[in-house]
Amino acid sequence: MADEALLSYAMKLARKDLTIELRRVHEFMSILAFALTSVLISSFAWRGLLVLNPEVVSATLWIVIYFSSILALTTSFSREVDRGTIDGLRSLPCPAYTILIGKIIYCVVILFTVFMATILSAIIFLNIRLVFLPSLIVVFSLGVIDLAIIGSIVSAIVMYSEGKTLLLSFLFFPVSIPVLIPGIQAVGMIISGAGLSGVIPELRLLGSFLFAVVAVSILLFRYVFHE
Amino acid sequence: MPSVVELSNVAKHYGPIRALDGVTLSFDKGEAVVFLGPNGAGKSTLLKIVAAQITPTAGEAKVLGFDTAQQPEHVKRNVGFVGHRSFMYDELTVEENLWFYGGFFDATHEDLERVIEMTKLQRWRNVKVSHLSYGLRKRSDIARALLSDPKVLVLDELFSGLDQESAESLVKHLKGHRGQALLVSSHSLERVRQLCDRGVYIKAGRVEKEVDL
Repeated sequence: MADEALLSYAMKLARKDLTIELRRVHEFMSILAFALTSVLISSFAWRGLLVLNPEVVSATLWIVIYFSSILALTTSFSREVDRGTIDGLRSLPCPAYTILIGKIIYCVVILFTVFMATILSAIIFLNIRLVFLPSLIVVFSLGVIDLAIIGSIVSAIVMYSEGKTLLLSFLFFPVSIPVLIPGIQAVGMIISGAGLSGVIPELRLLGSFLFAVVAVSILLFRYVFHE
Repeated sequence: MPSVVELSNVAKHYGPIRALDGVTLSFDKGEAVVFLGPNGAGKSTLLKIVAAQITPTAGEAKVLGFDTAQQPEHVKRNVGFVGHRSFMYDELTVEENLWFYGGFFDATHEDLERVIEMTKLQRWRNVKVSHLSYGLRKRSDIARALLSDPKVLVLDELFSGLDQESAESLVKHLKGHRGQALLVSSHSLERVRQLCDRGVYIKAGRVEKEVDL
């Protein structure tokens, strides 16, 4: 099967999930509300401070993205299982990993939207300088893709278990550490004024982790999805 | 002439549970077969194996010469499958659902119109699936399965939850669109008698007897 066909199938799946998400707007809005109120509450704590601690600001932004990804991922596969549509996905004449790629694309779009809302509110409420925005977009884009891939495969692994929400939260954290540590460091350094060239080692880590999780997820998903 | 569906010594085990145990069957072109038996007999498992939804623990299942475990994509391209739960998404309309699934089978506008007309869903094509009755949902699922003009149609618990009128209407629609083979599971022989010409009784994962209807 041609790569373009596989990509087009993955895009169809992602479009279907995004359409459903837009029609069930309350779930996406609750993620967005969580992100915005988190930034706002953080801004109350730092009111009056002239210089914000870049590491703490960085950690705040990553906490928002991390928990938003848990909220988005909890329903990613489990909703398909709960409604019986997972068998519909199984009846599609495409390799299993196409389904995973579709779910990852959907999750990246959701998380990137949450990230943009978070960073724009952080510029307003946490005094992050606008000039840092392009560098932050680069770091968070890599981090969001990493989290979406890891989260999607973990969500698929736990989809049939009873305590899937709890399991997802527990399993997602340890495998996210290789994203969170370089991510938090890179964002902290960017906010300190290091620029993108100053965080090349962290970007390399995020990039190489991306290749590793893509390979592992594609290999694993076939077994998770079919049995 | 090779059989359209061939099962040789097919077994499916879920841990200690033997859902299917050494089933050997074959179905020729033009046959319409009903699988009968009590709950938990293994009918749905058998149909899922034919539709390449699950792989057998042992044995071999072939559809149109394609191995369901080794070449599932080829099998799925040729099989229209309706499970006992709906595959339709509540938030999407009937037409949106059909476009979504049809997109994987290169379905055209003509295909869409054909199945909507065949299943008499014209009035409900733009209605969200969450607003449909069980019978209409079932019909939209059958429309989805027919969209790819499948050579083999596999329908699990075809009549469950359907009223008399909907069931009769379904039989009427399906009579003319059986493809090369039609495999149905049911608890009741009465309703499928008009549709199928062979019955296979399954009990405890084994073929108990085969009858001409």
